Amino acid sequence: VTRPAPDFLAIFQTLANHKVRYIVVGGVGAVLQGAPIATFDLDLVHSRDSENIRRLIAALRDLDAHYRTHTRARRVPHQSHLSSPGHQLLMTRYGPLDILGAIGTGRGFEELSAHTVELEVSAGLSVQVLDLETLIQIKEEVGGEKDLAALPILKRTLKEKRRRSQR
Amino acid sequence: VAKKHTWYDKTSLKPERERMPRQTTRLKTLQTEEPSYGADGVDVTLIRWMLSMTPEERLQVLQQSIGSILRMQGDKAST
Repeated sequence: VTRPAPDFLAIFQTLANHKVRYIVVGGVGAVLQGAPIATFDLDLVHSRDSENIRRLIAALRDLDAHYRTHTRARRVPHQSHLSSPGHQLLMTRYGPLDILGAIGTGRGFEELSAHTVELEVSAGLSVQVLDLETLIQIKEEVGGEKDLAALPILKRTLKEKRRRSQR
Repeated sequence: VAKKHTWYDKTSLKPERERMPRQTTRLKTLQTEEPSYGADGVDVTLIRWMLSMTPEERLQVLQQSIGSILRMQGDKAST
């Protein structure tokens, strides 16, 4: 079993090369906004319009993406998978990548895009990231063990950010 | 009755702040600063450290942390 070390920046760059529209959610999004947490996978909510899915499939091909849940048969996501609100848990040449059609109570790209911040992750490369307020809200909605465990750090980070912006 | 000698005898005439051992002064300073941990047990100093960086730097810190963990796991597996 190959275990590539995650390289989030390389994944962002590949998606940018193909002009894929997406929002960074989950742990990496939280870290980009200052939360001191460790995460090994990159969670993205993508726009499910047909043109974007076509671009995403091309980017996933470049990333050598395949389902990490199928260890024997190397299966790749198709247009029908990426058009659904379901979660595609993939392994790429740059580490685990979760492509999510919707999160929380069925919130997709269009709904979430009103709650994002644009952050520069490298010179000339910016990504849309779900803001901390909405990320906290969604983790509370989901209420999974892992989501709830992260909440105190996310809430404290948000509080500190607000305190700083008031100075 | 003979006066009992204590360590501060020689300095008892100095103003209070001057008599105070260095460590006590340091402790008082720390006590007046904001606590490192919130009521929720979260280490606020780590958050402030992360917030002092740019998003690009935060991503680098995350990548380096993962790299360190994976290297340690690899070392463990090989021993």
